Amino acid sequence: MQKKDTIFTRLYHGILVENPTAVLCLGLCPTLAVTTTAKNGLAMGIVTGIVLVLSEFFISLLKRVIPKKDRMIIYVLISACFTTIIQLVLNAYYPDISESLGVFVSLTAVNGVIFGRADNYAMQNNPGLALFDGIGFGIGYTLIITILGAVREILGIGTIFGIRVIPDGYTLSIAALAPGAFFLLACIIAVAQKIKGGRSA
Amino acid sequence: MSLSKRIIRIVIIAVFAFALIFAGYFVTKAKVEENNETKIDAAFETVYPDAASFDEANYRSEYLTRYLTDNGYADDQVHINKITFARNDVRDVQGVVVQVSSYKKYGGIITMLVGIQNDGTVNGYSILHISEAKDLDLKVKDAAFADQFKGVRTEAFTLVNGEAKITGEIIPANGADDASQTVVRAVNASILANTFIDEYYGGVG
Amino acid sequence: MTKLIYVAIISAFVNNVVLGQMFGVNAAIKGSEKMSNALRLSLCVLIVTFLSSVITWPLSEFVLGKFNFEFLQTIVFLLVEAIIVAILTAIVNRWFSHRRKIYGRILPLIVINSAVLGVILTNVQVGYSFLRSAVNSVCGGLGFAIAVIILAGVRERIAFNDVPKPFEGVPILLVTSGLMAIAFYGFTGLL
Repeated sequence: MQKKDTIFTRLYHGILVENPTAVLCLGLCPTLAVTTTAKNGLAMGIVTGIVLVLSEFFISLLKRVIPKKDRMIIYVLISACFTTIIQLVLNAYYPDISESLGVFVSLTAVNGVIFGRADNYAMQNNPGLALFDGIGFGIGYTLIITILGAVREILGIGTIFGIRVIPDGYTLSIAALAPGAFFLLACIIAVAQKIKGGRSA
Repeated sequence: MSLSKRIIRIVIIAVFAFALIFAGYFVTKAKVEENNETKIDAAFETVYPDAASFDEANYRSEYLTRYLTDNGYADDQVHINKITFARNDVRDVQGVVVQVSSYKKYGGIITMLVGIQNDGTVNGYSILHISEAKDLDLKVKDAAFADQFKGVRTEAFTLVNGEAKITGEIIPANGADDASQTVVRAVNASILANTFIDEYYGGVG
Repeated sequence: MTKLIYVAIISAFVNNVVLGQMFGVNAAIKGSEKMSNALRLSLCVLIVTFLSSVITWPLSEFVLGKFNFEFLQTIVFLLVEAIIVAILTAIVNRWFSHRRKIYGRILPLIVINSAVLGVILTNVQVGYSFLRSAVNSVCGGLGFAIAVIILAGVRERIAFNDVPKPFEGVPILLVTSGLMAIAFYGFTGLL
């Protein structure tokens, strides 16, 4: 049953079949917290994606020297290292984004997607494939977090990427608050489960 | 594998991780400093557009803290970091720019500059940093909210819902009550700081 | 004193770690599967958050802050957490060896629990005093415990209900958390 892994299957799995947010339900904290606007969602997705790609690549490269027992701490060190570098770059060149994402940029270091992929993929496969696995899952993660951000921005603030689509005063402000994030993410995952259920039946 | 061998491997990877971070730090350092300078310059320009030069005021900060506390602004709610005199081109003091940090009720801090003229008229404020910003909080940066303070002379601003009738009443930014209150507190403390500096220097400057 | 109670109510209820600030949502969902596990997880989070905030506050104030190395906070704090977890694991293995299997599964995951890292990072980034950050971290841990335990309780009830098929599993838990978040907003009136 195990088909040959190719670059294409990695991307396909990451974006659709095993989408990290909608199917595997990993890394939900930033997905819920920073998605008040589509722009924030997109930025957070890209940050997570970059850290994921770099971490997976290096973990795969180092897989022979990582002691099985201590792999968690090594993963943490590697992801924290790249997270900090991305944070420094954001501070220098995109200070606005760094400010509006706040502490969640730092929390990328403990994002569940990174540890899930490191353990389940990067440790067993070669660095080239791990790189594309990271790209696929990074895109998949970015996709859902941006969609959630867009929906919340339209409903909660009445704009999309800053362009007004719903007049002020007709917005549903709960969508911009914490409960709205929980409800809308639940709907997105439910849609994904519906599609998945329909296909396997 | 023995414990010492495991620890050595972890330490080696940690050393590499720190080395990479430091490399990133030194590459971006200059740019970050430049950003901060332009940001602060821009903020001074916003709160005091017609001043020719600025210089820092010297005062005993514990006196100011006590003065604020006596007037109902406790140090764990709002703190004055720095006071700068704004001078015109013949070096007369026109007013002050106060750098103030104010704590939000539900956690988080807002640091901003407030420009105040000698007679207590508020020129406006410019936010340097909001921590734990939910997006709605960022509405306090919008002109619609910030302009309510501009050119107003009052002892203390207050928040009201609905309509502002008398001078010094501020309508909170929609959906950002906590942040609005934090900003009002910061501006009020700055007004007090202006009075304090005035008394401290005996109104000479 | 009233000040600290006030801080406590805010971090445990009004701005609950899981439901308001949305730190550690994954851990809460995973940990609430069984009530017994939820209690153990909460205990671990509480202890690790408190101990790491007590250590990281002086570290960031007197070491990192002194050299303007604030950017090292993330990696250094994670190392501190990892060391604390390693020590706790050793303690459990030594003195509570009949429990080592259960805690051996929970403890390693605490390092990558974003509730712990989120709380200790917020403490130093907002610039709380030592006492206030200690109170904040204990209440953050309590807030996590409250959310996980209520969620575990609700899950026991959900098991007997007919949930629409697509909403089974994580989605219904997210809806539950959303409703809890609305309820917790009610605590705003306390202040």
